[in-house]
Amino acid sequence: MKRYLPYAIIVAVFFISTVAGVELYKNNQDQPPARTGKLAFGLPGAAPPHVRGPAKAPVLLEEFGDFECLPCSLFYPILKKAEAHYGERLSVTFREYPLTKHTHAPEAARAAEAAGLQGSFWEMHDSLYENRLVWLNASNTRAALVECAAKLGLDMERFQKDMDSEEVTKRIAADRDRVTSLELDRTPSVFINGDRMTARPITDENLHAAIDAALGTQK
Amino acid sequence: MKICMRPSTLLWELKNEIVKEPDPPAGDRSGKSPIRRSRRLENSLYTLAALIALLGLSDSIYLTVHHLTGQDVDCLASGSCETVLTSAYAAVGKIPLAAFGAVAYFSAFSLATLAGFGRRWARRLLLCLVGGMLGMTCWLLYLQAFVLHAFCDFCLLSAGLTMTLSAIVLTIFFMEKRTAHRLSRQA
Repeated sequence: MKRYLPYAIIVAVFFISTVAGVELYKNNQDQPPARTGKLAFGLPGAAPPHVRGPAKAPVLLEEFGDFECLPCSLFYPILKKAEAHYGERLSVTFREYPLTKHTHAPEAARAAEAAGLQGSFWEMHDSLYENRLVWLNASNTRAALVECAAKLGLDMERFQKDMDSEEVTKRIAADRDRVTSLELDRTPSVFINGDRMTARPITDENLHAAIDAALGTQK
Repeated sequence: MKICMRPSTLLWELKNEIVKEPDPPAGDRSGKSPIRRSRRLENSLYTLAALIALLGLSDSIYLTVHHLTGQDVDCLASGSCETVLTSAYAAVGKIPLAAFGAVAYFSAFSLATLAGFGRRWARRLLLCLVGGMLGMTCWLLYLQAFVLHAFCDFCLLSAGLTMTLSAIVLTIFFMEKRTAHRLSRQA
């Protein structure tokens, strides 16, 4: 009996760790409860919002994002592809939701909003996600963010002043109020025509399926 | 007439390289000979190594699952887990590096368990495996310190566990050498 004991222990540990891994995987993919229609009841957020695409597009996608978060950076190319695919049928709104656990996210949000005051929010938004590791790894985050903005040809004196301005603070606070009113707890949180996307992680397939459903052309 | 033999015969033990302690010299039957004590300590160290490998396995499974689901990792102290875990070095193709870690820790656990139960071949394999793991750990620490300039708590935990595992396996290796030397002197 003792001869087989080590093998029994090894098999038991293999079984337990496999089950634990699968359970953890399922748990991470667990969908938060759908909050269909709740968007309409939330606070309005910063005005005017950052919108890309026609305001009268049949599908309105609203993202609550954090420039430091990994899932947001993974969602960024997926959303870009969807925007190219749906063209005039899709409009995207971005709301600031820098998570408190991310040390550099608030600064990045301020940089994006400061660029927004010069009409370059989306350029800065794209630049922040595309160069995420550059400014995250920089010893001086602020300098790296300023460098990102300089490449966009912004008025740098104004940009630096705006980064610390009351207006930027108010915009981020207004978006935060909207986050709180919608009881959001993670990034990216995505709403399509007011329905919260519950699939995790968001992939090309499930984003297209949700947009198709909103368009009423689900295959 | 067919004679049934118990499996734990000398032949079976030799075939399976079971490490058996020789009888203590006459006059020291109290069970407190240095060799017996050393064997007991080795077994305790193998148990400790197996437990450490289990901790490493849990850490690796956690990181693998988070990589596959694309969820944020709850960084406890350093705050730069994501920089490390989303870098180009975090996966080989589509397979997260942590998955290789899970396989390595599970193998280390299995070999430590088998070695603790007296399988000599497992001891040699464990030594080689832990050597490889230590090399990989050093490479990953170098990447974090000098290439990414960011540290991940869970990677540092894994590095600490691998180093402890290496220290234990090396200690056992030298203890075995000493025991073998004593046995040859007695012979």
